[in-house]
Amino acid sequence: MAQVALNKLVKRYGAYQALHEVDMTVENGEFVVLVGPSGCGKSTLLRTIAGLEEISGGTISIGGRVVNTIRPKERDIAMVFQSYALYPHKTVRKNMSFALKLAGVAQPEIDKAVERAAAILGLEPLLDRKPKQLSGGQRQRVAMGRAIVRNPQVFLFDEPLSNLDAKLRVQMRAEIRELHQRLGATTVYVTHDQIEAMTMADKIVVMRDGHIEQIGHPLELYDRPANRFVAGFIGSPAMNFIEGQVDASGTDRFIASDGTAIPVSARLGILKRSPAVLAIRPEDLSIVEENTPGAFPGMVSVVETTGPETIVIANSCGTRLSVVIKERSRLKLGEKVWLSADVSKLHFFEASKDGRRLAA
Amino acid sequence: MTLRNISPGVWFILPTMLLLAALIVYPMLSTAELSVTDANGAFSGMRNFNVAISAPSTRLILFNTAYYVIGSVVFQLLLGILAGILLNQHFAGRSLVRSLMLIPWVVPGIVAAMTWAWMFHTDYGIINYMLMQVGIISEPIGWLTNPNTVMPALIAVNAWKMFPFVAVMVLAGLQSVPEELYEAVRVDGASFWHEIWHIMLPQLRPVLVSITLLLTIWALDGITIIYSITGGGPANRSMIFPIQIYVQAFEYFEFNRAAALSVLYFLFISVIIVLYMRVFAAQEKD
Ligand SMILES: Nc1ncnc2c1ncn2[C@@H]1O[C@H](COP(=O)(O)OP(=O)(O)O)[C@@H](O)[C@H]1O
Ligand SMILES: [Mg+2]
Repeated sequence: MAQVALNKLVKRYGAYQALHEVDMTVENGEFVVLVGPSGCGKSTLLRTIAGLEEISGGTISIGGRVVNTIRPKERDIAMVFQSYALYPHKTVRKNMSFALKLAGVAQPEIDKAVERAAAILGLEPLLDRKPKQLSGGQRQRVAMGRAIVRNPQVFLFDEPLSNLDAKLRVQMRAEIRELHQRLGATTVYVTHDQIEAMTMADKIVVMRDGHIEQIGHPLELYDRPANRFVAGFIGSPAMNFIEGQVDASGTDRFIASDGTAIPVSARLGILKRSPAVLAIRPEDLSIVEENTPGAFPGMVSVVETTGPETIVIANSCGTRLSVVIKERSRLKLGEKVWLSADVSKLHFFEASKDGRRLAA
Repeated sequence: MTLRNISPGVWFILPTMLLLAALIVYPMLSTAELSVTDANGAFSGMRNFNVAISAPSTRLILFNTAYYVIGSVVFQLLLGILAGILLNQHFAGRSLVRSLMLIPWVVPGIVAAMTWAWMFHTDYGIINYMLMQVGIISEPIGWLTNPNTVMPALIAVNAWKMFPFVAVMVLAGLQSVPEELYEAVRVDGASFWHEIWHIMLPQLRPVLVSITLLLTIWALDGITIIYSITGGGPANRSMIFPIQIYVQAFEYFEFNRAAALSVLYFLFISVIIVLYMRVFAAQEKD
């Protein structure tokens, strides 16, 4: 087990810069999830830690040792690949023991390590099968088994669940967390799925276009996103954004671009007059009676039911707002509704491209 | 059965089947007939076969054929796999080297054979010249006239001629190996040698099984190189079965004996191919 520290890490592919001075620390035993849209550089980052990709600048250290030019096998890491990358002509047992064999470990010890890993993952009945004879979930498990037999300092996962069906994904999510609790190994886990990130991480690193946008505990990111991108990326259904500005006349209102007024807290004086983006999570909006103070109008355009809750999408404030309500709804398309926002749950972002969070 | 209830598929393959019958089945039957008759067309039983089998040269020719085929295929595979793996690595000028490598394969066989015959020439050949310049040998070697060097020399030419084909197939096979497998094996601590042994060769197996069969067939009926370089000499030391058949038929005009040899050779090849299919094609399934 070890700490992983990245310092001003840069990776270029020719003229294209895939990573921009990335700084990040994974503490000993921590489960860190790298999340971001496809193509943002998550895999690249993970592969530089593994040593599969040369870096163009900065440093990577594992357990206090700078490993910039050290080959993968000397970094004491194990990696689980998206395609699992099991050796197709080797049995499960041979797949799992291969690294130890290459390392020159004695056969009885290898057998013990494989048996132990197989017991943890429930792979004993499959040990003599070839990967072709396994289901997707079983292959996934073998890939993890191959990683844990080596008892490495750091586990690296690259979207390990993305080839599984939804139900299995939820189950494996829990299993990987459990495994982490049991082994306590430092882990870097890459996913594009923010729900995976929210449910699994001790710490989430949100990336975009080779930059880190925010690092923090899942709920920290949820409650105080550092910018509009993180706000929109974390949470499902996604955060609502309303463009406009805080009313200049002194009443505590936000005027949306279409003129709709939304009551806000009085502490927002500093924001007056400059364009801004008001953001609110769908569960912090509610559908209310017509004459409720502060309510603003909208028109129902979509109603989706998931069972426990209903998502209503309404045209309002010059945009489409999602509202999550707990009760079942009899709303009809095109019906006029009144919406109310929880004043204590509002977020404000700059209207600029970066969309940084405004103190509020 | 009327014409109407014949499956339409039959009509589609009929022209090809007729052509095949004319070009393959008829000559085969006619050869079989020739092999059991004498020069006047009278039935002669197994006599042609007895003569062929008891001829003192037959054992030597059989041995030469096996030597030539095994030697060629082994070196074609070794060189081809090596070249394919090297040309799959990243280095400057790779596409140029890849194209140049194809030259032996695209040069017409007869041209290659004549060129090599000159290069191997005892007195004027560049090979003896270079070896003597460097001081490896002190006097010229009769590559094509010495009974001990003639087969290795011919095998070398055949290996040179066909290894690019193997390399191209290996290269194609390697390109379908997922990158993540190499990465997995690297993370597991493998060296380049391990990558070859544990990833590339197992992944290439199906390709190599088919190639080996093709190379074997081509070596078994590979007349061009030997016939044009040595004609089977010296003293039958490089004589292989297909050339012997040709010589019997078209130089000695012993058509019936040549036909008997053909039938024997046909059986010999069939046995090899059936054994091969049994061993490798069966393993392929699991
Ligand atoms: N070998 C490569 N050569 C050139 N560009 C690459 C290479 N690998 C990745 N990239 C580019 O780097 C960016 C990040 O890729 P990647 O790390 O795979 O994204 P992610 O895993 O977040 O989806 C992408 O724009 C991709 O096109
Ligand atoms: Mg990726």
